[in-house]
Amino acid sequence: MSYQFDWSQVWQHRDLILDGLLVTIALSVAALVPTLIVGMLIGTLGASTSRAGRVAAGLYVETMRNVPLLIHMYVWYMALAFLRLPAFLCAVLGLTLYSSAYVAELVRAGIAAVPRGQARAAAASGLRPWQVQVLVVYPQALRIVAPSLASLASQLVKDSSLASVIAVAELSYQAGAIEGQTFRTFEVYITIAVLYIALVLLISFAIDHVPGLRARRPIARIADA
Amino acid sequence: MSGSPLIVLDRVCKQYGTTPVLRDCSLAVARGEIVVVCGPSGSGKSTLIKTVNGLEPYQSGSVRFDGEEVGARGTDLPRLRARIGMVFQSFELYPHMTALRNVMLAQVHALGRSRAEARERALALLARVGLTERAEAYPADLSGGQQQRVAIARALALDPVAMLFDEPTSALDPEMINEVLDVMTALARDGMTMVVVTHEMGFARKVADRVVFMDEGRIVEDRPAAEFFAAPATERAKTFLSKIIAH
Repeated sequence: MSYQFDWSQVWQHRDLILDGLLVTIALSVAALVPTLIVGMLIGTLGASTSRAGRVAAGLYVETMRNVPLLIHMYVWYMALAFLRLPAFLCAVLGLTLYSSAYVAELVRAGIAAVPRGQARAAAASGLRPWQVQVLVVYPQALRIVAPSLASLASQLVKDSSLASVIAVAELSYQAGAIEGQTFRTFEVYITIAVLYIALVLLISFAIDHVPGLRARRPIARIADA
Repeated sequence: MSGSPLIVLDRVCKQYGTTPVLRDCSLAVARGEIVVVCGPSGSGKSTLIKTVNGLEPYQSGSVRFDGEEVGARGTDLPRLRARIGMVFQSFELYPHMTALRNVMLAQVHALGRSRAEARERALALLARVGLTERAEAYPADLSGGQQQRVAIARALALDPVAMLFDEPTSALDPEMINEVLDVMTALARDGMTMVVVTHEMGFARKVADRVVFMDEGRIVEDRPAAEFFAAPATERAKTFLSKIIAH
């Protein structure tokens, strides 16, 4: 067992790795934004008083979440072939549908954790239903689930590697390509592992510093009455 | 218009499934009048006052506020609610906002006041309830009594024509009850129309014009406060009074 590390091969292909990194970032951001929006909407529906709304939200969550992401990738890539959508968009779609189901569950739990009296009091003060949600319920619900949302965001970044199966040239795809040319398996995969770690840490750091999202204020209730 | 009552309930009935919560409740509250609603727990007091701002729907009868039918389909409930202040047993201050922002929120978003105007009004009201120094405090850092006074300021900030109080002192330690009752008494002296669900009979005796006594979803007595306290007409009210005044 005397493996000779040779990092020069990795360095030679640094442009490919950088390209892959940029695509991974683009893919993650492109999927994260609609994931959060769709997740918020479905989660709100799931927490609503309308039975039909809750059933619809439940159906969405169970179908999207219980299909492996790998299958999502293939299905949307194949199914939308006739639209000639770029693979990148199919990957965004697959990631969004899959991850938004998890976000929806988080949001639903967060909303359920906000005491109902809060929404009542807000409604009693003349706020309209959407204002009650946006001004009073969401800020509290999101604070409650912020740590879980952050870990979900990092999950999404790592999940984006599955887009490689539909030939989206993101980080893992490029790694495979370089490995195929150079046979420097360890060097290549160690490099991209480090890049993923750096990326996820960066995202966690960013989320921690979104004003208002960080649970600075413990939400104490009537406690000391 | 000022001659007709501000709040009129006419044979209001409500049930959860088959359990009746309100049975044929009729009540009229004139402008400037202070009505205390009391009765054993589960008698429907809270439900009754929440029909006034549409927080509790009802199955039959009618609730009118300033001539407008609360339960009618076309009624713009948010607009109507902005004219009725409400104070809850559990305060319900928004925990993610300072006291000041709690008092500003609906002014800006329900009434459309400018931030500067809302802020000025909020500070004036916080001063009125004696909490100028606590304007930047979060609810978690306030005592129960202080939280409830902020909640009263928040309701008053909308310049309501009537105030509803749902057991405003029930969640408070005894020594904090008076600071809240003092604010309410001052409000009553200023001529605010108030419907107050409370067990504070001392407060009722001092400021109420009328006392409404409820039992099992019915209004069993509705009489001038002095008469009610001198001699409740029903056996049920007598026992209730003797029980809560005994200790």
